[in-house]
Order: sequence, then C-alpha cells, then structure tokens
Amino acid sequence: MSRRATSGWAAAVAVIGLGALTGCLPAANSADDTPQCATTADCNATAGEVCDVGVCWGDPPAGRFAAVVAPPAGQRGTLVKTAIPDVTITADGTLGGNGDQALSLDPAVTVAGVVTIPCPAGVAACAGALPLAGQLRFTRPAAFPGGPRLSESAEVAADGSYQVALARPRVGVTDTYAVTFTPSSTPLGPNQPSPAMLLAPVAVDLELTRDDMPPGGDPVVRDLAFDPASQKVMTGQIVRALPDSPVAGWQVVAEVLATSGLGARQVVSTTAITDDAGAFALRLPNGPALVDVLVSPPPSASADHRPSVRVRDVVVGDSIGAIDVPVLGVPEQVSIEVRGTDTAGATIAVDGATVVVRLEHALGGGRALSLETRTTTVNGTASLTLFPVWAGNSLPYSIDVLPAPGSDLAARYDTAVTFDGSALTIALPRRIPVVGRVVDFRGLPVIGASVTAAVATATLCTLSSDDSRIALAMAPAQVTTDTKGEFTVFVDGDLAGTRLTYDVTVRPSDGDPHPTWMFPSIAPAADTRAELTLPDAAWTRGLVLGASQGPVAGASVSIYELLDEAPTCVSSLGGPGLAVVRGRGEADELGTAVVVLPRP
Amino acid sequence: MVQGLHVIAVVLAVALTGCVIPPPLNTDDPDAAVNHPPAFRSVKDSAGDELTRPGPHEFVVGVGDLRITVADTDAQDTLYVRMFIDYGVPVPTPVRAACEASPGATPTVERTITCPLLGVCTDDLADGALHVFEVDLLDREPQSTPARLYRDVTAPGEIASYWWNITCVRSPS
Repeated sequence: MSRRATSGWAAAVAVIGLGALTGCLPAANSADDTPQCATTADCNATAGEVCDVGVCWGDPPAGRFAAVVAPPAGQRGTLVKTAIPDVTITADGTLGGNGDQALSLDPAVTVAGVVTIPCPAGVAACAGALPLAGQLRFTRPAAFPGGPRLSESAEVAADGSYQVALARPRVGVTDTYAVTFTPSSTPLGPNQPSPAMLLAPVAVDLELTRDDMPPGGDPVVRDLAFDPASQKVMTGQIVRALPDSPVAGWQVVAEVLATSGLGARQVVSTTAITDDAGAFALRLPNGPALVDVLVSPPPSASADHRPSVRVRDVVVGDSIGAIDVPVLGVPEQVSIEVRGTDTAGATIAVDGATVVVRLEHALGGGRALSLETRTTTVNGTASLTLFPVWAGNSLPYSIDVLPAPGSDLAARYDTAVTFDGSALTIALPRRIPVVGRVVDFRGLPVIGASVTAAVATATLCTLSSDDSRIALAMAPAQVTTDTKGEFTVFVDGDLAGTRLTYDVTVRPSDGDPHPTWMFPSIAPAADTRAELTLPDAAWTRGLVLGASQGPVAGASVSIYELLDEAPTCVSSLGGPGLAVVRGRGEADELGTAVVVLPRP
Repeated sequence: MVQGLHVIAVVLAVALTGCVIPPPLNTDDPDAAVNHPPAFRSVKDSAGDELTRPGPHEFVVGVGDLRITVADTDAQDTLYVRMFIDYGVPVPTPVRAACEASPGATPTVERTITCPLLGVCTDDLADGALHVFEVDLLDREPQSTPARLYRDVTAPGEIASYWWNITCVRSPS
C-alpha cells in the first residue's frame, strides 16, 4: 500500500495478506516457490515498485485511466455504481480517483413514486388516474469518453409504485437522468387492455439536486404522470382480399431503427389490436418522424408461423390508410434435414442445431411479408409449419443453421430456399481451427488460461446490418490452454461468404499473475500457428470506500484505459470515444481491490 | 518483477478468495474418490453488479459478459458453464452460450470465470417479455441425453444450476 495512503489500511492489508498465508494450508504445488520479493530492493525500486506480501507493486503502465466501481448487492440501497473519470495510479501501484488515494463509491438516495395516466375510457374501476405497470430505466451519460452509460432499472408494480437507488447529488450539481418507461404487456385484468396498449414507451428527463433531498434519509418522491393524449395518434385499417378472411385481433406496432449500424429495431408505439373492421389506432411519442409499421397475425395464428406485414418508412401523421394483408391460404408442414461430417468424413445427422427461418418478400407499395422464426433439430430434422406459396409463386425464404456452441461444425447462413415439397437438406461445413500457444513476456507458457475467440470488431464493421446482427448472436468459442500453453479453438470460417477474423482474448486463470489481453483480428487457418505473447503486468491496488461506511468489501472495480483511437462501429454503442477494460478486481474483506494491469 | 510468479498466484488466490483447501489425496480414505459438487459463489454482470435472484435483469443484445465466481473442492476439475434461455418453455432448447475454466497452473478451490453473453440474448428475444435465464455449472462436460436434452451430466459428474428472470433489450442508439 502506498505510503501516501491511509497507514491504518496499509497495515491492515499487510496483516490480512500475512494472516491468510500463515493461517491456511498452502496450495499443493507451492512448496518450492519463492516469493517475488522479500524487500523493495528486490523490485524495480527506481520505477517506484515496492515489496509487500511478497509482491512487487507499482511501476504502472503509462496512459490515461478511468474506473467503474460497483457496490456489492447487499449495499446497493446505500451505495451506487460510480464512474471515476480520472483514475490516478501512483508509482507504487496505488489506485485513486477524484484527488483521493482511494476509489470512492457515491452514496445512494432512494427515489420512489407512482406511474400513472389519466383514466382511459373503457377501463373498469379507475378513479382519477390509472396506475401502470412496466419497467423504468434511469440512465446517466457516460462519465468518460467511450465509457459505459451507467443505468439503474426499476420494476413498476401493478399499483404503479416504483423505487430505485440513484446517486445522491453533490452540492451545487444537478444530476440529469434519461428516464424511459416501457409499459407492461400484461393485461390489467380479464378482458382489459395492457399498459402497452394504453401508452407508448415514453422518455423524460429527471433532474436531482442536493436541495431535493428530504431530511432524515426519506425517499425523494418523483411521481411520473404521463398522458397518452399528449402522444400522437395514427389510425389505419387492415384489409384482406377475401371477404371472409379475419381482420380482427391483428397486432400493430410502429418500430424505428435503434442502432442504424447493426439493424436492431425498437418499438416506439402502443400495441394496437385491430377491431372487427380491421381498424386500429397507434399512439406514438413526439420524436420519430419516420417509422415502420408491423402488422402481426393474431396469437392463434402464430403456431403456423404466419408472416407479418411490414410497411416501411411510414411518415408519422394522422392516418396510415389501408394496409392490404395478403391471404396466404393453407400452411404446410416442411422439414429441413441438417447434416454434417464427423472427423472420419462420415455424414451425420446434426442434433440440437438452431434453425432460423426468415422471409422478407416485397409486396409492393412499401409492404413486405416478414417472418423470423427458429426451431431446433431433433434427429437431424427441423420441422415447421410455413406458407410456401403466395399468388401462385414460391415464397423465397432464407435459412441460417447454427450448431450448438462448441460444435465441430460451422454455421451456414443465408441459404436461399423455397419449399416446393421436395426434401431440403443443408450440409454444414466443419469449423476451422485457430491453433496457437500463449506465452508470457519471457516466453514461458501460460497454463490454464481461457482463450475466447469472438468475431473481430474489424470484421463486424464490414458486415451488413443483418449480418452484423447474426454475428452478434454467435456465441464465442472458448477453450483453455494446456500444460504447454497450447490451444486449438474451432471457429466459423465465413459468414454468408464474408471471411471472418476473430478477436482472441486470453484470460489467465484465477490467481495467475499474468494480465488479460486481447489479440485483434486473427484469421483462422489450419496451417498457421498463432504465438500469443502476453505483455508484462503491473500490480496495482486500491482501497474502495463508501461515503460514510468506510471500506467496502466485495465491491467490483473495472479499470478502463482511455485511448485516442477512433471508436469502432461496435464500441461507439457506449458513446463517443474509446475506452477498453484493462483489468478487474474485487475488494477483499478490508476493501482493497487488486487489479493486474497489462504493461505492454 | 520476474521472479516467483507462482507464489504471487498463491498469495493472491489466498488473499482474494480465502483459504485453499486441498482435495483429499489419501486413497485409504473412503472419501478420497468422492467427487464434490461445484457451487456458485456469485454471478456479476459487466458493471460488477451482482445478478440478484430472481431478477428481472436486463441483458443487452450482443454485448456484455458475466463474471461467475464458483467453488469446487476438487480443484483439479475443469468447470463448465452452460447458459440457457427458456429451456423447456415449452420445449428444451440448446445451450445459448458456453464457457469453461480449467484448474490453471495453480489450482484453487474458488475460480472466477468470465463468460461472454454473446448469443444469450438475440433480437427475437427483445420482445419486452420476461425470459427464464438458466446457468448450469458442471464439473464434467455436459451431454445431451434423451432424459435431459443438452444439459445432462454422467456420474460422477455433478451439476449446480441457477435461474433468473431477464428481459432482452436492444442496444440504445
């Protein structure tokens, strides 16, 4: 512990370290190990390292660092997750922030209230205001470039009540939270609408200052009274070609792109249900000017995997007019055989593979038939009930087949198919190995480290929106290094024809003194071998303090390095800038968290 | 800084996770061959928040990881983590994400495994509904058997399971 740190904590840390060493049985293979240091003279003292409990602490890497500190679950009501944008690391490895030689958690204040709307027509037993169940999310801007936006969620009960612990504002500072309320889709009661049918998801700002804090630790009351009448109303009607085709009970929502780069969509409207005439009325918050309207079949038709109708790029106005929903006839049972090859080259039926079936077929007038459903192969076969034909033409489906994580077989994406009654078989290629060895900066093997290969960020950013969504849904492959530090991890070679590269992250096992490190954009190949050299490590430690509670045992500390590099299409999800987690630690019984940082 | 890395491991393992209790090694001891079950100690999200049960918790599609601290008295066991969504609701569904932790150079009773959450939540699950998220912890590699598809373990393997309610949400813009 730093000489500049509180000497009492320093002594206590030393005591627990020595106590733990003398009070417990040593690990089985530790008898012939020697400490890293006995005195500071054994360390790189000229760089500031000091010896304590057999470890050389300090000589931290150069760079700018920030931290996110989270309290243990048992103290969440009194302390909150805290971002520290300017972490200092002294030469002897002591972590500090905000000018202190400690990492301080912000104290919490309880914010509570009730979520309501004015009594809507047709809802029984409502007097004055109707409480709405749902979920509230309170989000603060990232405290440092590229850092996470810290958020807290609160369930809103059926009586509209909620309670959440937020950071107690500092004197003279106004904390602003972006609050989003997503109404529940559970009906208010039998034959009653759901909150999601009465109010569109809504976002408001909530400001807190120290002046808002009531005396005595009472909760800050913030009732959230929303008014659907303040939201825009857009009406429409679905029509169908055959007079006896049902138009009642269809579900209608409006969506927008939540992340343009990755193609994810987000519902921004109420959920409307069409009446007996096919009419509906959507409510939307002020903001979106252009939405997609998605008309989905009644729940009774979902077992048939009946496609929805998507109307793209609808200008938000008073009326969307009529939406023609085609009549698709009678569904048919279809089967997809999934095959692979084993190590001997024999054909095998693939069990437990996820089969994703998609349909996106333009109907004209901005409309498209849209479906995405999934099932699992049993005895090598996936069976679904689909609509193969429309207007005399085969509908063009596409299929992804995703083997279980850890499988030797690779996924197949975007296989274009039609279902014309003939047998459909999809053959999976075998995965390609990434072979390598993990060594430390001295060239010694790193044993038992986990090696995780995830689709490289650089590759993700070159994929289309749809393919990026698929890649982000792929579970990374993971293995551990053997006694020689060697590993082989099998990965997919391509995604719908695009060659994939992988970011390979090496996480040494618990207690291993090496740092975690990521090796970007490694191309899988059977005939090449990756030599992954971990950088040297610097040992740092920080005392985690609660506002008035003193040291906080069990707190989690994540140290970020702030980089000048431009954010990528993925990292920018957290906000502008680029910050990379370099090390993590958890505070011990005395509140001291040890974080191993790479020193490349 | 280059000497005694093994002892550092021991120091940290002890100081951070408590006493190291070696497994019984005496073959005369009838307990020596007993396989002890693994156990969860804590499960935390990327921000370090403990995943309190039963939730609900929010997972963002395509990002994040879990830091799972586990214990197994059989320190030489490789531990396997398997994650499921809505298994058996209504039908058994395959594992969504997997990771594992080998004993490492200095086996410890407690280990912290970092498991990416990629593949757990997908866009089709970001539907506002509650989903059942289960994590299996096994000390033998799991098998798929007719009795328990995708998540069975053969003797003497042991399994511990936790579940949470979660909602999947898409990344904010």
